[in-house]
Amino acid sequence: MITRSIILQASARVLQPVILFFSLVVLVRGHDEPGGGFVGGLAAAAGLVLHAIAYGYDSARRALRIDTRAIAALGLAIVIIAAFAPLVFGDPLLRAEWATLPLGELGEISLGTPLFFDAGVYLVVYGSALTIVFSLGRE
Amino acid sequence: MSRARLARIPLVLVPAALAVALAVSAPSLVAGRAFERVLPWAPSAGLETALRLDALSGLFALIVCAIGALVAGYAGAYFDDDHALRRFDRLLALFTFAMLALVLADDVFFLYFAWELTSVASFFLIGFDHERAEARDAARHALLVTVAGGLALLAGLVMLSTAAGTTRISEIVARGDIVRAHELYRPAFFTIAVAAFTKSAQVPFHSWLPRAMEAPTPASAYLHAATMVKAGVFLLARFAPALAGTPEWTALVAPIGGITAVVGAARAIGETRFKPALAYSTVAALGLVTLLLGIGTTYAIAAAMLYVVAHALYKGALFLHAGVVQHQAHAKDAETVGGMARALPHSAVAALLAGASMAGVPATLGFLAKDLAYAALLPDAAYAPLASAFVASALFVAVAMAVAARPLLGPRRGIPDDVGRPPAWLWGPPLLLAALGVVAGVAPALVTPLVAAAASLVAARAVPASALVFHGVGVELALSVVTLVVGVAVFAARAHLRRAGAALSRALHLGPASGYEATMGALARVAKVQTRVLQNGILRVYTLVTLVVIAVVVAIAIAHAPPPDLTGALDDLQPRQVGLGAFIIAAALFAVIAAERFAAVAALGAVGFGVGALFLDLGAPDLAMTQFVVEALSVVVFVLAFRRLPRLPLLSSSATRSRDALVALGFGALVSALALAAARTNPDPSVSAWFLEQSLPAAHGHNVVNVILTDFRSVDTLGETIVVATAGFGVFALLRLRARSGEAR
Repeated sequence: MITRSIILQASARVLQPVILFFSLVVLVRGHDEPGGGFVGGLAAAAGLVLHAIAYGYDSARRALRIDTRAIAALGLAIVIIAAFAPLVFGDPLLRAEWATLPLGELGEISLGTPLFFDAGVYLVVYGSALTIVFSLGRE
Repeated sequence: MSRARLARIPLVLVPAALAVALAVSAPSLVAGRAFERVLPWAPSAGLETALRLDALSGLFALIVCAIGALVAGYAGAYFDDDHALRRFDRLLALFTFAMLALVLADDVFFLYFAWELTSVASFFLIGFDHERAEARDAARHALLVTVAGGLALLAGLVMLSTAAGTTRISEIVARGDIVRAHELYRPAFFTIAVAAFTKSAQVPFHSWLPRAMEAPTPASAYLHAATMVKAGVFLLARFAPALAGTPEWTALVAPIGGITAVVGAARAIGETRFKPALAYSTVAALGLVTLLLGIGTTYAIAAAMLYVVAHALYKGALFLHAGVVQHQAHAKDAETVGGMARALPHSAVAALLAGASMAGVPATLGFLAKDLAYAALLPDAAYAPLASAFVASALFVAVAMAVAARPLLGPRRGIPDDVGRPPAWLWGPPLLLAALGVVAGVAPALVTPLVAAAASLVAARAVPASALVFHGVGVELALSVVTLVVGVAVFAARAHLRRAGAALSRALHLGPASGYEATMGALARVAKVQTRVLQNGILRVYTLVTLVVIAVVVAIAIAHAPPPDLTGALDDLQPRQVGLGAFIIAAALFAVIAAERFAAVAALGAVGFGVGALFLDLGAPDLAMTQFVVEALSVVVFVLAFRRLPRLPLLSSSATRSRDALVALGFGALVSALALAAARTNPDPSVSAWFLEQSLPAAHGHNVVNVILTDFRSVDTLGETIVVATAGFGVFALLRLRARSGEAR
């Protein structure tokens, strides 16, 4: 029913991976700069929605390969695991656990449960937003 | 024995072992010792499961455990269906636990918890045959009354612990003088009394108990005769040292108990069916105990405690006997059967012994309790309590003869020819209970020490065990004899009395529970009207109601608050912010007047982007970023959703639209005023300063917004994540469902 625009399709093909990459950058840098899991997930969803507008929803669903609800569920599982993980170390629920990895010349990197937590949020938002859009977009 | 039946052996053995342990420890309880144990429950909320075993709780716990074991064994023979038995067992175990917790509780909130748990267990047991509407209605009736009483109890316990300054029951009881002098005494006493009256089926809350006879007979015997209904009496007894002795106590408790005794006994003689007749006489007995507690003299309290034991023994036995009759002979009406003694010999002995105790025939515990009650009430100048005790006792004689004795004796009629001999577990428990009532009547020393010790705790002064035994020949004995004679006369005239009673209640339109029915009917009508007006499923109405309510409430709050200082509120405004604001307002106006849906959506998106730009300008990049992406996605969602809708017709009248415009403008003005006022007030700066300081060292992050989301307030985020996922799944399910039902059509 939608007349496909060549320009839109061409730009979507280029933009989709860029947006996805950008959204991951937003996710990872969120702890220090503006960004985070919520906006990252939304941005990633927007990327696939662009694809859907250009090529149709069935094509976008096929391109994703995984069911959107499974993504949301996976995200929820990660969030809950990150929330309960501190209990294993004898700490209260949701206490952030940090580990510092030395990277030699490159300095060091701090890894902590908040990143996993945020990644879970990212997946939940991504999966849920796409679930809503795809449900509405069904023919 | 099937495996299912073997698996339930602990259900009998555990309470039996507890009962033995209690009986063994009884001498030290009698000596005044108390065993205390405090287990953590929710320490951060100041809640703990404080348990206390003293003579009073020990007496009730002994009844709970001993009868619990017998009823569990009885139920195994009573239920033919393994599935029903399993269901019953779980509820029985839940109830036994709840009832034990109730009597042993030494913390007011733990007491409340156990109290409501017994109501819930009772609800499920009354509605056990949940496929019958009568059982469901009766269960709901009992739940509504007892849980309403439970709420009163909660309020009362809170006030009581406030007055006493502790939640520990033993300490509240010890501070009786402080409690009685406290200004909260009256409301606390009143609410606790209401709770006790609902649970113990006192007038005017009594009608749920006879209806509770919809429960399986073992449950009726255990909950609605021997234990749970005594929880109200127990409550009064437990708190008597703190609450009793005031004019309020005497003025409320004794009359309610007296009225209940007479009303219950009169209703009992009006019933011909086994279980309702026994239920009404239970109401009367509870009234008698309440009356005695209300009188509050040493003898009266001793009589009340003795009555609790005597009643548990004979009423438990009679109910279990009624279950045997129903199970073996399928008879429900006591007037239509006769000569059952030959078919059910063991059970007949049990019923006759228990009936004798109920009638107060000498050499039974029932006689001793009645004798002591008369002894307690005689010296009083007030004749009303004595008269109600006399009337109730005389009617008990008649009920015992009508329900227990007469169906057993005489020529055989009204029962099938092939009545099988019941298994030992059906006749054993009632026989044991009935026999105990007679043994204790002959050798009262078996029970009097513990009963006297419990009465001492209730009366807050020593009650010697010797006070509880037979008083010898005197006015009391004469009165007992008169009671028996009058009772026999009532029994002989019961048919006439029933006709007169039925005519009277028809004339007064006082059917059972008519007040309850009227209340429930009114409730249903109110629910229907408010559903039609408020919960009609139209989203616009919900939105309108919500907005108007919020606006009115906030406006009232603002009107009562000191007017905020708005001078200089707009001084920091930059020209570009004013421009953005104008753009947002223009876009919003366009969204309202747009004739096309898509134009309206685009305008709404413009509003969102304008707000995002404002966030950016005010230095909130995180917020702005999220706002931009959300706006982009919501425009897509809107477009997708609108694609499915028909073309935009004008659905609302101009009157509706002006009303909506008025509400919208009013709400907008209110929110604007709130925002301005909020910007003027200085929130505690230490909060944001703390977050800024702690962000890097505590959470390894420079972005305070994200640190707050993922670390400091991550519980919020966890909840919101679940909300987002739920929304996604919800939309999916909703649209999938619509698509499916569309296909089906």
